[in-house]
Amino acid sequence: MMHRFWAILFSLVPILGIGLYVLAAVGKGSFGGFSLSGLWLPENGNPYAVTIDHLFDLVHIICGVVLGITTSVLAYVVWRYADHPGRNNEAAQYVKHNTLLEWIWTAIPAAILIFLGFYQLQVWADNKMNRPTEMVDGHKQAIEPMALVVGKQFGWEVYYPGTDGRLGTSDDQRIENELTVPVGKPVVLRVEAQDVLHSFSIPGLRVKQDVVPGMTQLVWFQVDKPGTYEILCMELCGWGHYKMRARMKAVSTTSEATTGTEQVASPPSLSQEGGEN
Amino acid sequence: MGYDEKNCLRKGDILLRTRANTRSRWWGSGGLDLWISVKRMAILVLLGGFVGCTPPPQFRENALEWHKQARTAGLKPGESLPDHHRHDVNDVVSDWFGTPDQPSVPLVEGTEDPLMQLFSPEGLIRAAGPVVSRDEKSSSGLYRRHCSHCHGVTGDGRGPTATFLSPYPRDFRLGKFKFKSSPTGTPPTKADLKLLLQNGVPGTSMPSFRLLKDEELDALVDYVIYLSVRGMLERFLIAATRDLDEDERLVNLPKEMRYRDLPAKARMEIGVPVRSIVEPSRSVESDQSVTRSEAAESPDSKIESDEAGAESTEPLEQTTSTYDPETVEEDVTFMAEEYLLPISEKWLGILEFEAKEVDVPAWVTDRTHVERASQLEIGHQLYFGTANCVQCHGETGVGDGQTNNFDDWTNDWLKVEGINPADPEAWAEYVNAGAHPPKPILPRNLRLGVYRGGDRPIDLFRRIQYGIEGTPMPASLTLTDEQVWALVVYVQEMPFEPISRPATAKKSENQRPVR
Repeated sequence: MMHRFWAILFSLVPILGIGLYVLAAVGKGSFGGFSLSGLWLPENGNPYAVTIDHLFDLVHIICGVVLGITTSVLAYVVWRYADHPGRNNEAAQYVKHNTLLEWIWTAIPAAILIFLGFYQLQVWADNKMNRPTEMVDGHKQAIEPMALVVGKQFGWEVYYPGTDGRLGTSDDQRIENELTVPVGKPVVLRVEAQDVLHSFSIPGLRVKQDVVPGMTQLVWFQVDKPGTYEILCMELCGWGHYKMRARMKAVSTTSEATTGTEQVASPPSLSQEGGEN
Repeated sequence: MGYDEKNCLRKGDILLRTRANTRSRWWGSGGLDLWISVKRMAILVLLGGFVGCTPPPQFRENALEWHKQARTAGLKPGESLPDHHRHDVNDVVSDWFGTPDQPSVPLVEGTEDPLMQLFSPEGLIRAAGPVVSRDEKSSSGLYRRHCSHCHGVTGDGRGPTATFLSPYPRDFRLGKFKFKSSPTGTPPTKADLKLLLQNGVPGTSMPSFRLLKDEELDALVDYVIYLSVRGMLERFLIAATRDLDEDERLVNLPKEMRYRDLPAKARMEIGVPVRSIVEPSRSVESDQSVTRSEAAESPDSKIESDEAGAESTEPLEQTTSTYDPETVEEDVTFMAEEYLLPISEKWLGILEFEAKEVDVPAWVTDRTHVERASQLEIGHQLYFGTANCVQCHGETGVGDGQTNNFDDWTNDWLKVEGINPADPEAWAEYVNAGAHPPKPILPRNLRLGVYRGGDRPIDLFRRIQYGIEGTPMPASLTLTDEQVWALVVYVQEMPFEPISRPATAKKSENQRPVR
């Protein structure tokens, strides 16, 4: 009987695991006052990342189905052969080879992987390679970064280009842990690290980019809804990693003609009057 | 053994048996493993129980100051000032300011509650005490959650992580703060402290706390002031005991008696009344701070000495009759007026302080201004000439001028005996008493564009105009405002001079041609 108990216990692990997973995704589950809805990714607000979510869901569904099938087979086998009277003194059958099985479990995953490989090409290119463009004097031109974000132990420094529109000059404006971006237009950021590896991540926009000291990376996204988003470090960078959080404010620009950069280049707290006393 | 030999395994094949005896053996060992892990779990739970039972944290005695004053009084190594002085100071300070869990504020008679104007009770309640965050609104224990691991529960800059940081975290007990809008020698304004919390101190380990709510920042500012006032008072009282005669005491009580042994009621009547900030009901009902201080005897609080427990168990009634309430009242009032009031006045003075309006010249903010180039040249000349920045910050501005200075927090004890900072044996006893190993204070590297006190023009202006308190950076008494602004412009441009950036900015690396 004891073995039946273990069989049930072992099969509970995948069953509960998949159950929790589905409940969290649906966002309706709660256990004894502990809500599962906060465990899932926040709603995506970035049109560039819609396909990321598609991929994410697709991979999870495929894996979920495979996990479901394999664990139910496993659970069945454990149950079926756990404590069968009269079998205890028999040796197990030793099955050495099965060509058909080998073909099946090689071909199906290979097909899935190849499909995913092709499907993700465009997603990767859109998010990491093809910088958004804008029309300047009738020419297509890659959008220049509107701000520089530098990760450091433990926080994010944000530099705006100031009035000259260029980063790396003496009128750059710095603010700690707060990034302000315009809504409804592509935003390009330059991200760097000051000391050790960090990872610049905005879960609500599905943006994530490792930043390496000495390297310059570009990330881009677009925010469709005004609001506050969370910037997190996603690479364990030291004892204070957990407190390396910043706030991103997405604000709607008043006039469509001005570029977002000018609108948000001088957040109120940076201006001469603000902040002083 | 009834299994089929033909189906049994050849050499090299993987063993797959379901024999009853091997199975039961496996079960046996599995059970043992399980038992071991249950035992481990039990030990962990027990340990957790012990951890949960640690006494509430206490403010740490300023052992460094005691050591320093003993030295100043001419005592030899190993000798210390008499224990009853330590008891008096500790008793008075903990009576007036309470404990980290139950802060209180002394109310000086005849005045309008000066300390209560310094900080709001709500602020102290949110910032003090153990960390509690049941939901967004009721988070308290802010100081211990965000600050104490570097600045220490006492605000002495000696939290667990402090040793590993460079520069060391600030010790609030000297009452000195570096980055502020007020002139040298005055405390910072609350707005200065709040701004510093929001921005952090770039180039140091002090992070930005911009994501905290406004009222949480206000609460932390209040608590920092509370810790600073408390620490300053303790230091003043310690210094005062040095000049007392052998049988004189800060509080005129019989030799065997401690101030904390007086019933709370008596202390309220003859001493300075104290307002408890946290849970007044609890602290009134446990009428002695005796209970309060007895709980204090955790290993890292050195406040109470060994014999304290024995002393406090003596019946109070016998001893209370032997002291003279009038002289005690006189002594306590004297301490309040002589040491506490000046501190609170200093801080209160800054509450009404308004930074002098400064006109920012157009050429400071406007980079394309015609005058900017000429002002830049003036700044350059001042740097090497009248202002003499070059002496410390170096000819190239990388901070390689005078590099053998120490800040006030180190000089405070380093200068007492003229200790050689290069000789670890000379300062070992001070480090044992709680000092950090001395590190020279390096002039800022002006080529990096990292400014600890903020990089707005007005920040740089204040640093040059008022100097940086507690450091060798002096106030520029002889320069006019315009000259200071010229220096600001020069400092702003320094990181972008050719010498700072030998290579021009490179192209972004994951840039691809536009299609």
